[in-house]
Amino acid sequence: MSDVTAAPAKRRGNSMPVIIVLTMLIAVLTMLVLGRDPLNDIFINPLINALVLLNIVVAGNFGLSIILFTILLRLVTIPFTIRQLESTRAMQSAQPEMQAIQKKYKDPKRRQEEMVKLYREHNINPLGCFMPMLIQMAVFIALYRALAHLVGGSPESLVGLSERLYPFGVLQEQIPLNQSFLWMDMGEADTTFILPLIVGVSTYVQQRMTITPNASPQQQQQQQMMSWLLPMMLIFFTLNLPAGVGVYWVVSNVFSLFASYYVYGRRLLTWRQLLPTPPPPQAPAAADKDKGRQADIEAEATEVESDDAPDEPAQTETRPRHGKRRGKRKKRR
Amino acid sequence: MLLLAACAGFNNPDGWAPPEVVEDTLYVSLNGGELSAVDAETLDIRWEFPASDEEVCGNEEAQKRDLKGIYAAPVVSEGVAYIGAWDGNVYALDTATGNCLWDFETNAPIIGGLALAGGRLFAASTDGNLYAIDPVTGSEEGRVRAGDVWSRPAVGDGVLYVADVGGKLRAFDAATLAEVWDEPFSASAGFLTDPIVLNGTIVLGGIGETLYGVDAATGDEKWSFSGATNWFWGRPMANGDVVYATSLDSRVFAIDAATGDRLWQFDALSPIRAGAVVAGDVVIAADKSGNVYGIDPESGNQAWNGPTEIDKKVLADPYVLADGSVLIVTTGGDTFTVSPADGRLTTVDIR
Repeated sequence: MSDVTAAPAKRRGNSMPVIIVLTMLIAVLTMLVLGRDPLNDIFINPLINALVLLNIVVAGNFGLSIILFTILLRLVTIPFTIRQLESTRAMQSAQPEMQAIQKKYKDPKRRQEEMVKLYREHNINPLGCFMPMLIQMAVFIALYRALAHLVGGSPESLVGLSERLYPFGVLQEQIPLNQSFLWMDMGEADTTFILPLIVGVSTYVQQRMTITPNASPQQQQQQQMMSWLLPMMLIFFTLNLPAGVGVYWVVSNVFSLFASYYVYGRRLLTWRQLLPTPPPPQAPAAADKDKGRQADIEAEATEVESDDAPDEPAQTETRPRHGKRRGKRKKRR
Repeated sequence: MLLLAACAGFNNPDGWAPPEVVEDTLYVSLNGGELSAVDAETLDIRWEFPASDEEVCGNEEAQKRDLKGIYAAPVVSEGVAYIGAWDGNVYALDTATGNCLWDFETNAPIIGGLALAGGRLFAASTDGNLYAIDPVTGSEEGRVRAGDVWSRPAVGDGVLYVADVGGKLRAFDAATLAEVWDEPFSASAGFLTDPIVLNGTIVLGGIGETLYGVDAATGDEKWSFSGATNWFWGRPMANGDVVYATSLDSRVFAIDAATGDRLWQFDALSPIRAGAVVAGDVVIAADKSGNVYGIDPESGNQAWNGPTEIDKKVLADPYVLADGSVLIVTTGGDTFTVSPADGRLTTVDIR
């Protein structure tokens, strides 16, 4: 069995997301001062032109252009993706300790302090998980808006495109784009259900691969629900959005699976995880280590709580009862 | 919710068919995918097509008709109005009643419109074909590959000039559908404007920011004008030896039709999709944001004090009415007339 506990990762430049956000903020403010539309000038218009440029590379096949764009984007943002996955892995391994802290420290301030300490120990940056998600979401929305102009299909959308395309002959010559790809029209929703199903399945697989094995039953239940809910939502979206957006989603999911494989390794990514059953228990070595840490927390907490006891009589009365109940439940299992 | 809100805004086809008066009837598309026939005197609507959810065409069974958008004015001949629509169909409508006499299906949207030549109706579709149709029965009499066409074919001396968005201009014999030139005229980017025939020269432009003058007999380039910084889309307007061309770079150009030299240019406030018209002694152009300009055709200076503001989106070509005023139809179907003398705006109440 492999040791699933995350080795304390080297502390990376945590200031990177802050720098990116600040740079974006400055760019947005500059645009606003210049009386420009930041959403269009920073995101949508460059994206439109990048997609048209890639269209030249892939010999005028806009479907391939979207695929190439997605791969390039995911490659550029791979440091964020890896950090997110590592952070998720560290979160997974710290779950028992987190649960122990949640259970034992009733004082929110103290609980917060302990959590921060735990995050530091495991080198977890809870906000670090959001950056790739934010990038994904921003690109998803910008891509949709870009597609509305690129393959909107109607002459009206092309009038809008004329104002967004940079004045280079090489780009202009690509218009209007050839929007048919495989059985789909990149500007139309795929009503054959094939693409929506592929989006749903790939999202489901991706969700299942990131389910936390050490989570509490309640958390596991939530994760199980999300692993169904998100694919269903995306199937619905794909049925109503242009196929180009669905193609982006599928390629992005496949890329995420490869990234997960790279970070988690083969042993942690098994096909068993795809079944709608709770994931297998954590590896013994990791569990032992966690138990040790958990015991430390509990011992420490008992000490703290006995100090707190005079101030909080009601809590002191109820705590042992909770402990007994949970203990009994565990024995029954 | 956030995702859905952000994802709103796909441009559905609405159409920008220009209004046109034939005899005493004004044909105008007031709502996307609908054609209205209006009494030009009283402004009463005589009929609309489609009039109901389900329409009968000829001997066919009633079926749901959603034309989605009409981008060109109807061709009217011998009591029948012919229209091509975004739904890919050509419809023949009785001008008296609006009844659908027949429909003809192509495999893709029709944007460019239709042309009558040599007793036949021609429809250029975005499916890549130019169809020859019997105007009485609606049956196909032939077809030829003509590219993905977004503009209305021009007709001159029994020849059809068809420009596609692949950047090719072809000339077809209207009787035989045989290509007239040895090879099509080619540009580096697609054609969007309706080609016009002027003194043996085809004038057209498009995505390549260039307006071309092409020899109608040989298909050779006579001249090209590359003074714009965005696409030409409005139908070029010929007036004597001068061509007035609007561009999406917010300009109106006056170009010598013989040489392609720029005579003047006029800067508008917003991109211009609609073509310019000449009304009286004034060139009139309407930009996308609804600013209407009167321009002196000699100097290119503004004829009025500032543009007349409609404040609504204008994509359809204006139309000069018999009384000399200029009719403008907005994308939402609002109608106005502008006086070429002073730019005075009058709302037209079509009922």
